[in-house]
Parts: sequence; C-alpha cells; structure tokens
Amino acid sequence: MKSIYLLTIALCIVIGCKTSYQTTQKSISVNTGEENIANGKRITAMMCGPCHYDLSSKTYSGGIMHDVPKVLGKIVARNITQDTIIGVGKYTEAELWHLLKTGVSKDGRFIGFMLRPNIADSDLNDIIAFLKSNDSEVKATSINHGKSDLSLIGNMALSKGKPVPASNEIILKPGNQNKVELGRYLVDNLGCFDCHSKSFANLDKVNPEKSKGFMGGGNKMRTMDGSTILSSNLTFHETGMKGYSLKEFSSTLREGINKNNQIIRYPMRMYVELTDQECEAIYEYLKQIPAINNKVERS
Amino acid sequence: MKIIVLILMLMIGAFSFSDDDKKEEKKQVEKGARLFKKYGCTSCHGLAGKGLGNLQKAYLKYSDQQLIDYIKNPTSFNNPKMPRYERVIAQQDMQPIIYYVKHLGKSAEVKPK
Repeated sequence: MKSIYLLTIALCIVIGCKTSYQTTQKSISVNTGEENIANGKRITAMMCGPCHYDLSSKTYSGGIMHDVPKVLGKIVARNITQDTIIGVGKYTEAELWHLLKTGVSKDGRFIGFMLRPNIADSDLNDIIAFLKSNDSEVKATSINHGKSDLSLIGNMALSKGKPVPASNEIILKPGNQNKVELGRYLVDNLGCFDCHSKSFANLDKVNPEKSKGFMGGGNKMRTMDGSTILSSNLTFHETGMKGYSLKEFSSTLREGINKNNQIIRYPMRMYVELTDQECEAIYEYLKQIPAINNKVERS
Repeated sequence: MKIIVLILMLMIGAFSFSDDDKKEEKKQVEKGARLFKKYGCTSCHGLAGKGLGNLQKAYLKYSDQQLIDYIKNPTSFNNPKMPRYERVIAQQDMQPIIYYVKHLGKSAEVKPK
C-alpha cells in the first residue's frame, strides 16, 4: 500500500515537472535594413553580450558564466553565432522570436533566463536581423566552451518557472520623450533587475517590479578571481543611489567608474552603447521606484 | 696577485648587485600584485591574468609605457570594454602594476599578501 502511495506521488511530481514544451512552426518576416542591423548590434551587445560575447574571439561564441554562484554548478552561455552545430545557425527567425518571447527553445526546452516577454517587437526584429547578418561577430564559428553542468540546486532553480504563452500582441517600445516608461523598459529588457534585485531565485520576468527586493541590490555573484560580490542598491535610498546626479550616474554606467572614483567590477560591464536619453530614462525611472533600505558593503 | 684579487672583488660586487636587483624586482612584483587586487583588476582579469582578456601575453605585445597608456585609456587601444584608469590609479602605482602584469606572463601568479 505504501509503495503504491509513493509511486503515485512520484508520478505526480514527474507529470508536474514538465520538461518539454511546444515550439513554433510559424514563419515570420524580419526587416533587415542597415539601420535594423545596426540597432540590433547595439541592443544585442547590451542584452546578450554580458553572457554570450567572447572577448578573446570578438564573437558571440558564448563562454562559461564565472559570475554565477558556485552552488548552481557550471553554467555555459551558448554560442549564438550562425554555426549550425555549436551555434544557432539552424534556428529560423520565428524560432528565435519564440525563444525570447516565451523562453522555449527550438528543441522544446524551457530556458528561463532567455525569457524577455516584454521586449518590443522592433527591438526583437533588430536583434534577429543582426544575428542573421554578415557581421563578423555573428558569423559561424565553432568555438565550443563545453556544456553546462548544473548541480541539483542549479537544476531546481533554473527549471523554476514556466514558459510565457505565445501571443500575437504587438509591443511598442516607449519613445525618448516618455522617459520613465523607457527607463522601465530598459531596466527590464537589459536585465538590470536580474542582478540588482535580491536574488536570481525570486525574479518575476513578466512583472519585474514584483521581483523580491526589486533593484535594491544584495544579489550574490562572483568575480573572476572567485571572490563574492554583491550587487549594488540602485534605488534612491540613502543606502543606495541617493545623491547621485544624472551626470554621475551616466558616467558610472558608460565609463565604469562611480562617483567615488571606484571601478565598477565584473560582472557589471560598461554600457558604452547607451545614449544620453537612455541613461536619463533609466535614471528617472529609478528615482521613482520604491526606495529600499539596504546597505550593500563594497567588498 | 693584486689583479686576481681585484677581479675577484669585481665579480663579488657584480653578483651582489644583480642579487639586489632581483630582490628589488621581487618587491615590486609583490607590491604590484597587491595593487592589482586593490584597484579591482582581479575582478575582471582574475588572479593569473587569464580572466577577461589574456594579460599573460601583454608584455610581449606592449612596452612598459604602452601598458601604462593602455591602462590609463583603453579606448585609445581600441578597447571600449575596459574602464579608463587615468583618474583611478595613482601615478606612482602604475609601474609596480606593470611589473606584475609582465610577471604574469613569465611565471605563476603571485598571491597578493
């Protein structure tokens, strides 16, 4: 009797832990003009580059994620060049679209950290246009950094969450004149809140502002020398960014040096691609989100 | 005889001078290792210089002055991904850091004390 009971529970767990999802059979049309590709290159650098760009080869051949907590195991960001075996050369435009909008890969796996449900159609078009372009950064390269080797905790953490249902709803990108909305959009889609909220385990990809400790910092990561580093509190509390001027904030973001003349360390990168309007939009948005009392000591 | 003594004295002087040089270099490398960590270089480059960008070959590609110029303003060397350290690193700390960077290519990393 006990064994039937245990078997039933096991079956429920297995059925509940669905591991394969519907991908897409659609085809879409992507605008691939010069401006689309140029914008796509810029957005890809900011959105995908932190994980997928390899400095040595100057290509999007991926690499080992040195910044993730050790407890998750080894995570490798995939080669997203046009190589058909190691890269994403076999992905159609529609499959790339589907991956970023729903989190479901070409082979039906849910990849939560790829999910960008709120990305504007125009930006997604341009990212795909760039990935499929003749740019040297995405041309086929067979550089292979190996496979991820997740720990049990890593597997549980990364399989948390479910795909977002595919939708035909068109998402428009806020214009420069709509600073707070643009700032909200950038903090979401550039993944700022992924690192600068309380932890990776409590992120809400659909409604980022509902993530635990949204933008209040304290998320534990690692630097290249293996040290633990905590993400900064970017809310405008005294323990966070209160007192930062727009100029100081923009300089920190784009030049990698804060107002105390300290280097902004890995895994934070310099966002040289951000325009003045985008820096201002992020600044104005951060000013009006709830300020969190969280003093993060610089290690 | 006097000549032999003179030659011997010159040889002893040369060895001790070269020994002093090595001690001084070792001191500078150890100081450089501490500064390399203090200024946050290890957070991107790792302790052995093989993190982001491979520093172990840097000394083969650049002279000391070029390395200093690079650190001060990486964009002038076509590297937009590294911060400009010209306002961050004190002038007197530059050379020990260079010693350490060159040392990275020649042997195992020196653990900062």
